[in-house]
Amino acid sequence: MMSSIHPTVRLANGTRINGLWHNRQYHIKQLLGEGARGSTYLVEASGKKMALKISRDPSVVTAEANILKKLQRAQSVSLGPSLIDVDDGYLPNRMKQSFYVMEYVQGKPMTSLVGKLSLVDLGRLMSRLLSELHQLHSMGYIFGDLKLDNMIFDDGLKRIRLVDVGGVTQVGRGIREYTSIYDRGFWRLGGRKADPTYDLFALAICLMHAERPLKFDSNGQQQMLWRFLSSSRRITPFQQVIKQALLGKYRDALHMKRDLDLALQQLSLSRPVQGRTTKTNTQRISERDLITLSGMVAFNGLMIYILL
Amino acid sequence: MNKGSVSQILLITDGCSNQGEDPVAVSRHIVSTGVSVNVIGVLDDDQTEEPIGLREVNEIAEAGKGVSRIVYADDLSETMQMVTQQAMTQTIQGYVNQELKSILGDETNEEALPPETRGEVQEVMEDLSETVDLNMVILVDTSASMQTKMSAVKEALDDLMISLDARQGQFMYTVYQFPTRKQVVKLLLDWTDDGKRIAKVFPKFAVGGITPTGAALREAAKAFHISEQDDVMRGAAYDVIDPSYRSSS
Repeated sequence: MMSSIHPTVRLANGTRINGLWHNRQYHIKQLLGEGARGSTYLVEASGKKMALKISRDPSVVTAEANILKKLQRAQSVSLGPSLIDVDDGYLPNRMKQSFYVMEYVQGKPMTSLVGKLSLVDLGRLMSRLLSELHQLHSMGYIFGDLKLDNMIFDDGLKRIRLVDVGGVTQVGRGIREYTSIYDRGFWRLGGRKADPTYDLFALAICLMHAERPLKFDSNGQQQMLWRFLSSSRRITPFQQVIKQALLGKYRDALHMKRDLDLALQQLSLSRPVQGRTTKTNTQRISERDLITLSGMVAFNGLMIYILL
Repeated sequence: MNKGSVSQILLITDGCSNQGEDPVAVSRHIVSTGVSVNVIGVLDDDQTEEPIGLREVNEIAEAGKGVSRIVYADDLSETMQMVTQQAMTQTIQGYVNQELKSILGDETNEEALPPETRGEVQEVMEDLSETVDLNMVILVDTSASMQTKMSAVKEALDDLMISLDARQGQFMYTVYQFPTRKQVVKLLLDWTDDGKRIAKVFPKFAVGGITPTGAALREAAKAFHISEQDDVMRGAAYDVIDPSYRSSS
């Protein structure tokens, strides 16, 4: 393996790859994504759609396939895509390359949905995701590279699926892969040793994107995060949950879920009122105020909960 | 498998050497002592393609069985972490492949194994790269043209420490700058395991003219030998995972 080689592998649509060990044939349909660790293609095999990940670095393929296998062993968690095959194959250029094949998760990317979904719907999806993260954490693993780009709203299952398991890390080890803006180390709000709070921090950043996409300078400025949060309008009801998660105050995913659910309850109480407002400018402001108000109610609820 | 140590030099520079020894030859020599040489070339914001001078960056790393990347200052943080991690993985991969060959015969390497077995080998390698001790000499080019990039270098090194602190294996590092007026390299920070100290050495950076990369590499590599007399490092010196094992294909 040479240092300067980029791990992506370009394959033309229509290419066929035959697995050398397991003799299955995959028909390349279309490129799904490219990253620092390889390329993912939509493929067809025995009439079914699947996703094939291929990389010039064979250890990427082996490592990710290992993780998918582990996730699968805990059957209740269908957080990630299921693993179908791991093999080597010759490319049209006669190079031998490793690849793995997984379930094709069909749905919409959360990057585009996060601003469009109602706050209640987004909150419910994230709440569900928190339960599943908790299961992953209980198995001794952290997702690591948790970000909107790695989340797909599964049309069939109506919930968030996590794709790209390259960052999954055993608790207690150094996070294997991360993205600056979702990384607490980048914001100097914690280290990169894998523990549940690492994922919760990233999930809080995901929620913040519902306000507007988070932009940052080359070096993370903590103040910027807090300013963003305190001046936010749309995500006000989740402000406290987000803040606690950013500060690493939630011991585990279930604690964060509990507070998020509470905020959601308060939010849905105020919903019928919102529904009646018509779209005039003045009323839009009052709608906004209502959301702020419900945020305060949610916060008070939270305080009462903590005090109890 | 017993715990070993990996030794690396991380050179951060923005141009080609213009004085003294050939850095590629020096790098080849350094790798023969069990130390890999990684190089990060820093581009100016207005440079749209790789300048010829930076080609040397890849050649030094190749000769030093290390990893190289040429990036804009803004991307330094991510790159440093990646280069360090990748270089360590490569060294360990080379070592494991060597072990496999000695067990299974000459033609065997990890890729000759069926995918199922490969998965198990991969886990051993991951365990190793998480727990192995890492000794790193950081060598920063502080010639005049680096001036504008220094704050980015500082940020990135500070960030690198967060990643290396998170590993289970022990981590020791030392920082040198080059060039200086009187010496080829100047020690900025002696061997330490305290990642926070790197932020404090940076105000000391004085920025000077010429770029004697080869000589600087040679001098900085001596840090690994100095360390052998050092109590803290003595244990680590025994079980060095030699990067020259790495079988490049």
